[in-house]
Amino acid sequence: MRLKKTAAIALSAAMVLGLTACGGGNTSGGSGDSQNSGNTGGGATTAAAGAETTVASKGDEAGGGDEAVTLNFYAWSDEEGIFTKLADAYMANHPNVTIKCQFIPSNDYMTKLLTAFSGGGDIDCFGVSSPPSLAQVQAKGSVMALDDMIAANGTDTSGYEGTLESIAIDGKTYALPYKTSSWVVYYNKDIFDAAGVPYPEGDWTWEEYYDIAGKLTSGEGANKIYGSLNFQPTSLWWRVPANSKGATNPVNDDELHDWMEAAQFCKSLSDAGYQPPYEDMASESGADYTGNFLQGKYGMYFTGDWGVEMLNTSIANGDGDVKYDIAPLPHWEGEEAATPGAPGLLMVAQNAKNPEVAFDFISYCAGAEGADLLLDNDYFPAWQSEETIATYTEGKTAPEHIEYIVNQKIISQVPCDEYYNSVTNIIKEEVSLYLIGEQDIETTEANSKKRMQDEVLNAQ
Amino acid sequence: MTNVKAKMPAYLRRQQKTAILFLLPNLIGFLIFILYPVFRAFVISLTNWDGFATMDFIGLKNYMSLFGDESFNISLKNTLWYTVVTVPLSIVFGILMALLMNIKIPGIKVFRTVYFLPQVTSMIAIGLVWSMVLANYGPVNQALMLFGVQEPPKWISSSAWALISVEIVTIWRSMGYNAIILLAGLQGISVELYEAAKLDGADAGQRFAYITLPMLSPTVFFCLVTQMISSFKVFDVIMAMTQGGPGRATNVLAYYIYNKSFVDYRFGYASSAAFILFFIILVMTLIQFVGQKKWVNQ
Repeated sequence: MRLKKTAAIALSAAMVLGLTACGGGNTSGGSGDSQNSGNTGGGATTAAAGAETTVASKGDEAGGGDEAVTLNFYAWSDEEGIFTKLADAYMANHPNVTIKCQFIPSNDYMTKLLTAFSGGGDIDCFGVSSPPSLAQVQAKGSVMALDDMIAANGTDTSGYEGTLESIAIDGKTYALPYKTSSWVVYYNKDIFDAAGVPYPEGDWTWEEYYDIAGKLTSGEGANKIYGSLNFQPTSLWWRVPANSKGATNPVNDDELHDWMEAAQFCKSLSDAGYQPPYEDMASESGADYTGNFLQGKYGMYFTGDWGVEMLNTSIANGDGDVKYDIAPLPHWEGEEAATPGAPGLLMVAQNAKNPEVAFDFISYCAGAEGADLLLDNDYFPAWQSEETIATYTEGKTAPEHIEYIVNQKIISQVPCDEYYNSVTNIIKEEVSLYLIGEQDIETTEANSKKRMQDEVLNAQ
Repeated sequence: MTNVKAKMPAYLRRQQKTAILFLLPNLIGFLIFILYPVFRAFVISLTNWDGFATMDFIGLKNYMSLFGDESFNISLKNTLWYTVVTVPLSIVFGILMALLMNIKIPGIKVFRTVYFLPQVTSMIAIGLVWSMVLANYGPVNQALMLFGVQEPPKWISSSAWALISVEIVTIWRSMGYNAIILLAGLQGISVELYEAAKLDGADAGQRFAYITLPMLSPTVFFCLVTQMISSFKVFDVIMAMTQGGPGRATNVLAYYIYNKSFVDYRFGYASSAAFILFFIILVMTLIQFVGQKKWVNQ
C-alpha cells in the first residue's frame, strides 16, 4: 500500500513535470557560444572569405555551369506571393541555384526566426519587415555584415538613397532594403459626395482631418457611417499621427509625449462619435478594416501603401465595391508634412552555408531588376529612381492619385532599436486602458515611463 | 525493500526484467524529452540567457527580481484567482452534467458527444466565437438588454469583466470533459448499493450524499488534480480571447512567461518564472495527495 502511495506521488510529480516542461523553454545552449564567436571579428573573416569565393565563382559562371546550390530563404506569409515570383525569376537565370522559400505566419515570424537561429537552423538568407527586427537579429549575432561583399561584387547601392545609412548599425551594413512603405489616407468618394465635402488633396492637417471626419459621420445604429478609423485592437495603429511628426521611439520622453497626444487624438475621434469606440472593437479580434471600408462603413482611414493592393484585390474578387482614392497623410499644425515608412529588409544569415549566393540573390531582389518585378506586383520598391517612380504610377487608374504613395517625404517609422517591440508592448497595454476609458492620460504616460524602465531598460 | 527483493522468487525477478524492458522506451523518452529539458530550464533560470549568445551565471538574481516585478505579481494573482474560480465550478457542473447524462433515455449518447465537443474543438475557434458572443453588442448583451439590464457588462473590453469572461469560457469548455470522466465513475458504482439503500428507506438526496459522492470521490479527485494543473498553465484561451488585456487584466503566468521569453528574449528570467509556476503546481498537487486521505474513498 505504502509503495503504491509513493508510486502515485512520483507519478503525479512526473505529470506536473511533463505539463510544466513546455513553460520552461526548450534549449540547445551549445550553439550559442559558436554564434558568439562568429559575431566578433570572426564574422568579417567569413564575409571576406565568402567574397573571395564569389569572385572565383563569378568567373566560373561566365564560363557556364556552376555546381548546384540550394538556398534556404525565410520570410513571413504576407510576402509569399512576391518572393515566390522573385525566387522563380532568379532561378530562371541561375539554373544551378534552387531556392527553398519558407513562409511563416506574420504574427509568429520573428519568434520562429529567432528560435530557428537559436537552434542553429539552416537559413541562408531571410527578410524582416522593419529595422527593430534587424536590430534584434543583429544583437543576437545571427546576421552577416555585407560591406565586404558589396565592395567585392561592386554592388550598386545608389538606388537606396539614404536608406542604407539609416539602417546601418555601428557603421556597418547588415541588410539591403527591398521595399519601403508610406502611409496615406484612403477615402470613400461616395461618402464625401453625399456629405458635400471636397476631396482632400495635397497638404492638410490632422485638425482638418478631424473636422472632415465629423462632416462625414452620419446615421445611427447598424446604418451608421463613421468618418474615420485609425485604430485596430491589438495594434499600435493609433500612434501614426505621432510618427508623422517624427516621434518614433517612445523610449525618449518627448517622443513618448507625442505618442500620448496621438492616443488623445484617437480617443477624441471616438468620443465625438466620428469613429467607433475602442472598447467595441477590442473584442473583434483582428477586425477587418478593409472589409468594413469596402462596405462603405468608413469615410476615411489611413494605412500603408499595401492598402492599395488589398483594396484592389478585394474589389477585383467582388468583395464590395467602393470608389476610393488616396490623399497624403496629414501633418500637425506648424509641422512639416511627412509620412512614416518602414523599409522591408533582406539579410544573409551569419551561419549561411552559401553566403555569396545568398548575397547575390538578395541583391537581385533589392536591386533594379527586383524593383521591376516588385513594381509589377504593386509593391513600392526601396530601389528609387526616376524610372521606378514613373513605372510605379504609370498606367494605374485605381486609385486616381497613386502618386501620393511615392511623392511624400518619407521618414523612418521605427527606430533601429532592439527593445522597440518590448517597450511598445508595454505602451500598447497602458494605452488600451486609456482608450477604453479606465485610465487618464497622465497616469498612462507615467505608467508607461515607469514600466519601460523597470521591465525593459533596467531589467536586462 | 532489498529484503523484499531477496525473497522474490526467480521467475518473478525474470518478469521484473521483462517489465523494465517494456517500460524502457517510455522511460528514455521521459528522461530525454522531459526530465532533461526541465533540468536545463532550471540551469537557465540561474543565468541571464537571451536565447542566443549571452549566458552568464547570475545565481538567484532572477528569482529575487521576480518578487519585485509588478507584472509578475499581477499575473500570479490572476492565475490564482482563475484557478480558484474555474476548478471547483467546472467540477461541480461536471458532476451535475454527469448525473443528467447517466439517465437512460433514447439518444443520450448524442448529448454525451455534444457536451464533449468543446474539448476537441480548437481553442482559436472557441475564442473567436466567444469573442463574438460576448461582444459589446453581441447576443449575450442583446439578451440582457431585452431583460431590462440598462448597462450590460463590457465583457472582454473592461478590466473588471475580462477575467470573468475567460473563466466562463473555461468552465464551459472543461465541464463536458469532467462530465465524461465522472460519468465513467458513476457507471462503475454498483446498483446493489442503491438497491440496499432503497430497502433501508434512503431517499434520493441521501443516496446521492452517502453513496454516489463517496463512491465517486476517487474520480472527483482525479478531475481535481488534472483541472488544477491545467488551470495553472492556462495559456490558449488567453491568447485566443484577450492577449492578456485590457491592460494586464487577464495576464496569467504562462502568458507572462511566453512574453518574457518570446517577445523580450529573456529566457533566463522567463525560466525562473516557469520554475516558480512549477513549484506552485507541485506543492498544490502534493497537498491534494496528502489531503485526499480525509475525503477520498480508497
